[in-house]
Amino acid sequence: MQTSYYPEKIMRYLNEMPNSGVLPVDSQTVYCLQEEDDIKGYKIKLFLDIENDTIRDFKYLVYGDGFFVATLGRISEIFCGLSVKQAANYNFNELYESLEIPANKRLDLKVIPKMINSIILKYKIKR
Amino acid sequence: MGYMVTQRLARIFTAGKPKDAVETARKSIAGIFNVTPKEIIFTSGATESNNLAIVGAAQANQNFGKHIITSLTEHKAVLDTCQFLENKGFEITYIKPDNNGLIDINKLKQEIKIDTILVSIMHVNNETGVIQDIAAIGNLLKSSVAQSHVLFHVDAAQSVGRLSLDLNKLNVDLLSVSGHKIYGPKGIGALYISKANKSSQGQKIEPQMHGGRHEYGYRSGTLATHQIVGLAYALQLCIECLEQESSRLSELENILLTGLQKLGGVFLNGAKSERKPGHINISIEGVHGEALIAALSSNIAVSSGSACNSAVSATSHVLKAMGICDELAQSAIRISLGRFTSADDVRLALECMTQVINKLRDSNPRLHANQLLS
Repeated sequence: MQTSYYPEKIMRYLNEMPNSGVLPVDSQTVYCLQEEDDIKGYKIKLFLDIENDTIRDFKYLVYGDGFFVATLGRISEIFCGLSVKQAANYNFNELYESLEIPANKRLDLKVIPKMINSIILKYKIKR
Repeated sequence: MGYMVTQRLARIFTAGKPKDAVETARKSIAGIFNVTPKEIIFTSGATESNNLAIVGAAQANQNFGKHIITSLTEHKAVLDTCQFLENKGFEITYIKPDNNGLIDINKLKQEIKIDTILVSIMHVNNETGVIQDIAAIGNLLKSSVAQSHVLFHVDAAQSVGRLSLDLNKLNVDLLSVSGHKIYGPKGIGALYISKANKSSQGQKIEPQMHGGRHEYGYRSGTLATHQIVGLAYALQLCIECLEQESSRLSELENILLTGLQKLGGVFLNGAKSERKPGHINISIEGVHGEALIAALSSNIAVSSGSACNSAVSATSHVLKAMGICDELAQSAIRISLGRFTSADDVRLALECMTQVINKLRDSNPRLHANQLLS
């Protein structure tokens, strides 16, 4: 059964879902982006509050398996307070290792850094 | 070994020699199915029984034809075996069920050809609990519509011990049985091979394991006496409390389903009435099945489909075949209520599920701050 499919670290974030929620999109400092893939079965919406080159807040909405939910929870914790430079250069492989995410699943999760980088680019263009 | 079987096992063992214990067990199982002991052979489980029945029947009857009919919603032990035969030159027709997961008997009738040698349809689906009308299929195959050499195999891993099965009244030639599905030991199963000859054939199946001609020559190998006794006793226990358990499980199922449906956007997959009591497959709109299963796992164990299919994580082939859309198929979970499930367990499950479902829905980009579509 797939009840034992997830590592313990993933389970913690899946149960807690830290920083799940939304930020006011009408705010001048909030950047929002949504991606979905029906085949892989995920829908992700990211909200990043960026001001003075610093990520002040990170919220998300997610529909997907436990890896998507838990990874976003952990990323939201890490990215709050990071500079955009640090965020753009963040090593996601280390994060996946620490969460014990299987190699095949990491390919699906590539959408998350892609979305974060797109938001950072939006911020830089706007700035 | 399923612990329900441990108590009276010793008594059966001490009653005589191991061989006597095996034959007592065989007689007991045969009695429950209303067949003769010689029609029951022991295997390592339903997967082996399915392989032996399908490959064995294909090999024994290939002079009559090479066409086999099965359904798209069968267990992988049947589908993969059919695929194996397809690679060996057999022609396989996969029947698509209706939206309730039921096989249309007329559709099946249309697929029978002059060279059809075997029809393999499961009794109860392992993912949805949907019950196929095997009596009607058996009658069809026995009638003049079908050629007399068409054998009927039933994978009954999910129905044995849960539904009443009188094989003397059903026109079934081969029937697979599993031990662990009925609280018996793992690693044991059985295959019923009807001795009733069909007009144009001799042997129904060819053995797949050779070396010793055990089990009337159908399945060589030293018999696992303790497993066999465990299987027989587990089945006996199931039969003793079959009616009582069926009605108790139906009641528990109603409590759970009614409670879950109050959440909205909860759909029962498969036929409502032609379904094994206590076997629920539901799609929960806006909730990813795997995320729900994992989030629930500290309190309750549910699965996303087939428990026997855990090596792969993919959308259920059964739900797909029933025409359920990708999103709802991804949102499906299977809940099995059993002998040890109490009303308190169901209430706890309902409470936990409500909490987790609401939380996951609230985080769904489509549903956040919106109503369900349905």
